[in-house]
Amino acid sequence: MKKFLLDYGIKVRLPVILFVIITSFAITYYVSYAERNNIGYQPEQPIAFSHKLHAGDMKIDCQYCHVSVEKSRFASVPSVNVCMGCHAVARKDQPEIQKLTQYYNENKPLPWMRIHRVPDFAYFNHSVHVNKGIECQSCHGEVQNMDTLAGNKYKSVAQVSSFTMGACLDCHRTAHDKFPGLPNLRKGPENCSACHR
Amino acid sequence: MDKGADKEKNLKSDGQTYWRSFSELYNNKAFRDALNSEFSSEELNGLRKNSKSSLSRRRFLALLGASAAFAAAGCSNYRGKGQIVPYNKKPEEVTLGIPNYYASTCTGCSSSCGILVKTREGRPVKVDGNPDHPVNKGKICAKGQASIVNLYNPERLKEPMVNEGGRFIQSDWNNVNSKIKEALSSANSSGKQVALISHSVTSPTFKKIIEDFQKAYPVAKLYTYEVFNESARRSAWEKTYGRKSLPVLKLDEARVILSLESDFLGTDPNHIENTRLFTSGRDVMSGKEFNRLYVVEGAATLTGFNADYRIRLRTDAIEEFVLCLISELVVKRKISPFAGDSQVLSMLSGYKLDEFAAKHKLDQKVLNYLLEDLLKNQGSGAVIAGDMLPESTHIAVNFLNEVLGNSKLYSRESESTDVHPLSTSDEIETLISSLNSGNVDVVIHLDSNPVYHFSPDYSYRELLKKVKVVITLTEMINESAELSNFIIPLNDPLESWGDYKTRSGFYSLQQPVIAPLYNTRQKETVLLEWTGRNYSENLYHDYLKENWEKSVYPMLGTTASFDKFWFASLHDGVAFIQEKPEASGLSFSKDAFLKSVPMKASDGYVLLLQNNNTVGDGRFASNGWLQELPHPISKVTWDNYAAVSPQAASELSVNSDDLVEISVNGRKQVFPVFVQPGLADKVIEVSLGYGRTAAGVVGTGVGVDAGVLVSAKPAISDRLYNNISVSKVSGKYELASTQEHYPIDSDPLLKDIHKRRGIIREGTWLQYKEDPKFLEKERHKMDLSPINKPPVYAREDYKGYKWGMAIDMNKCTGCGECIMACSIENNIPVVGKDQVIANREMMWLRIDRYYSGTPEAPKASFQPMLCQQCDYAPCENVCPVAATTHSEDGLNGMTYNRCVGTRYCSNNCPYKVRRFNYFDFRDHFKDSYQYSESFDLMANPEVTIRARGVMEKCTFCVQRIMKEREDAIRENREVIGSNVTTACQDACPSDAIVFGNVNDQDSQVAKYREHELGYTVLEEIKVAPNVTYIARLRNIFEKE
Amino acid sequence: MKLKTDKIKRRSFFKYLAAGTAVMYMIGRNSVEIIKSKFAKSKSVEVKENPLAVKRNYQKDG
Repeated sequence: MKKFLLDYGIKVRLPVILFVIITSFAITYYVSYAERNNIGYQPEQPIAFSHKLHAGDMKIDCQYCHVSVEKSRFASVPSVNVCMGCHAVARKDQPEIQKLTQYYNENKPLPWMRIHRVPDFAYFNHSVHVNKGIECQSCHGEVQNMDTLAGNKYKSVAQVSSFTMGACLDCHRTAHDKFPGLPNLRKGPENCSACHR
Repeated sequence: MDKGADKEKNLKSDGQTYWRSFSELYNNKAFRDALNSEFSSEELNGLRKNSKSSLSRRRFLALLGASAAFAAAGCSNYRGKGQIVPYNKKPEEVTLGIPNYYASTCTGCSSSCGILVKTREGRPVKVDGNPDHPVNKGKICAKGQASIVNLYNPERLKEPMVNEGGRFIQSDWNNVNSKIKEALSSANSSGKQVALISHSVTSPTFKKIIEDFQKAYPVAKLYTYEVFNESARRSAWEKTYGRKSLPVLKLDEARVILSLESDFLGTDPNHIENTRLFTSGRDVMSGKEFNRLYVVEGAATLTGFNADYRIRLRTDAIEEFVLCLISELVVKRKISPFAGDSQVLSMLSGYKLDEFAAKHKLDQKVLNYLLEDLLKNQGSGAVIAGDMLPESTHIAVNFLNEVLGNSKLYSRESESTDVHPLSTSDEIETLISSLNSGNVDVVIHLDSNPVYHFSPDYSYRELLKKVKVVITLTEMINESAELSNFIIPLNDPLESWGDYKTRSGFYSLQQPVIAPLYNTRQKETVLLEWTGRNYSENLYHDYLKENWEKSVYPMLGTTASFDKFWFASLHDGVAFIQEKPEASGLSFSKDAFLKSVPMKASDGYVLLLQNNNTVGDGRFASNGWLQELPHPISKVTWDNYAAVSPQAASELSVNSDDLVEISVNGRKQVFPVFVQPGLADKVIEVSLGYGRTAAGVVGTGVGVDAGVLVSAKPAISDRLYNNISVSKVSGKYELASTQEHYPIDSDPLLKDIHKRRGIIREGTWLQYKEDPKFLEKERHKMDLSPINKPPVYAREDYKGYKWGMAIDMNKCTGCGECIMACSIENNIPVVGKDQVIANREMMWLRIDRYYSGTPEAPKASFQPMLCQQCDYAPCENVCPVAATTHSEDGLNGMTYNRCVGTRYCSNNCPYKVRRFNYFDFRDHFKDSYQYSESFDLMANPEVTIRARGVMEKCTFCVQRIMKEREDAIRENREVIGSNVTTACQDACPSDAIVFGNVNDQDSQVAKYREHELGYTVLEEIKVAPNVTYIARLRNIFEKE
Repeated sequence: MKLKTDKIKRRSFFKYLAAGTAVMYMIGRNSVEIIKSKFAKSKSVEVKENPLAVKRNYQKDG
């Protein structure tokens, strides 16, 4: 009887258990990959703003709208009056622009859905990176090609790079290789208090 | 089987068989089957046994519930990052992440210091001193630092309230204003008085509004009072020199200072300027000889413990002491022309210094030093008398200064002005009698609290019942508001306009840094409305600007337009005008001295009612940060107490935490006892401003109200009583002190441990002059020299910049301003009294106070202790999760999100500077209520708010270091160490704290680090701390 | 037909207890969160600057 049990155990139970464990780990890893580093997160925005049109075709500079990226820690989302600078006149008839104008006139806050977010306990500083010559595209991807997908009108910008600490440190440690066009770029800080105050 | 029994049953009941059908009677098989099955087979035709699922009902429900639960559990938008909402119409000057600064004026006390308010995204987050203000020159006291809390206090009054039948109902402005205007005009027409009661008026424009108000309502009279005032000094000055304005003392030029019960470095409202001027004469870097401070006092004050020589003398004998000094100088040593004046001689007869010294057991040697010093430094000495001494003492001190020729130290450029003199006690008496006779119809409390502050002799609380309409204008609920008919909510000073004049030569301006958070208005606006003007949002601003155009602008004699001047004044916060003091000469008159009746000492106990650096006269009782700031000497938080000397304690057989009852003129009050070394025998000190009954959740019931002992007609002065009786009463009251109560150990092993272990190293000026390297020699004697042992860490040398700090103990007076600035800058929570008793206060910076000598006449040494950012930090290598690490620039960093709360680091820290968050102190914690919406606005956005279970400590203001790094990268330059100032460094009035890059040989901190008087605490454990302390040199005549 | 009720054996009682507690905790926690967020007051304090106040231009330490 014992022999039979052991045989049964090895031939049937063990492989089944191993299979269950490995598959569940693998599925969890791949399913949560997106959650862990947030690549591909592309939420629906209240207004179908197209970066492809503004930053790509019309070649408006990133810093025209995201004004404080060079001066402070935050790269701000442009306030509604910046949009109205052109759209008080341009394409007034389009429904999306009318939505925008409504927000402006009613003094209502425009609730953009946030895509890129580093946790609050990490104090990421945009101006330090921008002032060193690093392009926006290196972390945010080819934003000037990000458009509203046909059929799915309201999504536009997606997160393309991993924003885990490992990804940040990877770039900090190999800054020379990542940015060959910036010969004076030193290695980014690796000590904790640079970001985690 | 049953049927047999049934049949038996049927049979047994009464012998007869009962049956319902033949089947039953005959008991055939069909019947038996039917009996056993509930449903007949016909009924069950539809249901097939095989089609029943193997899932039982129970199992099915369980599965249903479980799947629903799992669905719910997983059902949150875990990838969502919330929204990012920009401005709708962004103001031009606001850049996210970059602060804006506004110049304004602090109204915490009557000093009206200039402040610079830092705002982030439109909300003020930090208050610092205004560097352009000539009095405080960029520094502000702890009350000013904490004034930001008052703005965001959740218990602020938000709407006007009306008292209807004992309950306060919210109302609106129009309703309240119209009712009040009605009451005012009816009082006017019936000739009944309208009493306006306010604290001291230092604003010229506010005074003008009062005058306008009095024009509109001629029955209105203004009464002003201040609990801590200089009226004795002012009237003495007027009698002696015939002028109303007090002079400004040039303390930085004084070589000898004699302070008579004057806490000019501690609780004096002008202590910021005093500290700066005093410590400028104690600079080790300059090489000049130090000034010398003698303090003669009965209390145990900060100034006293900073003295080179401290003489303990009961307060009511101080005037006699002054007269003995004068007698010694004038009669015996004949140094003054008054020596030939017979009137003066007869006045001074009977006062002999040696007899006095023998009677009061004073050290004759020290008195000789004092006389020598005063004589040698005639013309550059200063004798200062405390505010609570009576007028006669001040007159005597003026005479002494005149005899010594010290009037040279009175500044000729600037003097303090008095916009509106405080009401004399006679004037307050007329108010009380008018109230008594029912002649007052309307009482308006203009941001004052007379119900709490007035002496109980006035019975003000009862008198208010006779008044038809009582109106209180206040920011927070207080005792006077509780008894009012109308409560008018006021703007916080940070939301208000104003102008202030405290000294000749300049005006100080106040501007709002934020629009009012709630439906509140300024008191000036409300008064203007009551004079008949219509409300507009900028009513007072326009009035103020108008007044300045008419009265201030012409005094400049400038060609610039008024608008430019106005803009520039608001930008600077100060407007300088051409104004010379009244007369350039001072004409001394000895008549006052001859006519004054000296204060007589008694034999019994003396009670001193003291000012304090935290809640003031009680108005900041609802400010948790101030309540938790430890008293500079006793380190007691959240309470006041009766400080008794060790000798008195043994006489009364009390110990700390016992209770005593003090009775003055028939009034009694029970206080907890704190045995305070260094008090003169039989002198008891109690702080005013505590024991409030209506100060919100935080301030109510904190401490004991000493104001019940204040007499309306005091024998000596309203803060000094010598005909008191003290007795022990039963009971105990635990005082929360951040240091031990009785730190002088009789155990010989522990006695003076701080000196033997090198925590406090001191010397004397003479010792230093003779041998500048005496500290080094002591080091060898104490065997502190480093042994050749490799450190635990293999650290590389610090190339580039390395941060270090130096604290000059000669300049540090122990005032505690640095602690408050650090707490506000770094979002440090308030923990409440219970937790302070458990030693869980969260302040990152503390000032340790060490006594040495005897318990009766100790010396005290103050040492600010903060994270030393050790190069070989013992905390770093014991953290199991590497939450505390070392950076390339010498900082010991703390990563809050990684900390799991092992507390091993705090265990290892030799300086015990790590604070652990035992609770989430922001979540409706007892004694504090910080998890409320408005307090979120107060937090500094650059500093993490720590949750429960993480360790925190001083970071050398790493957020400011990172800002400098950001600026350096933006401007494509190297990091400049001197651009970074820590919060504590910014706040220190004497600039005792120096911070910067120690690798920069030209920096100040590098010079301090290499200074021969520099040492680090606990050197022998070789953790290489980066905070250097400069040894304190006492300027005494001996070498040891 | 005989209908027998299942007897809960002692061993599986604790498994059910554990699973039940876990489930109740997860449901309860999430539902409380959802309800709290529905009732949460929007900010009643408005932060605004006074346009007549004058700022200083320099940028000191952050």
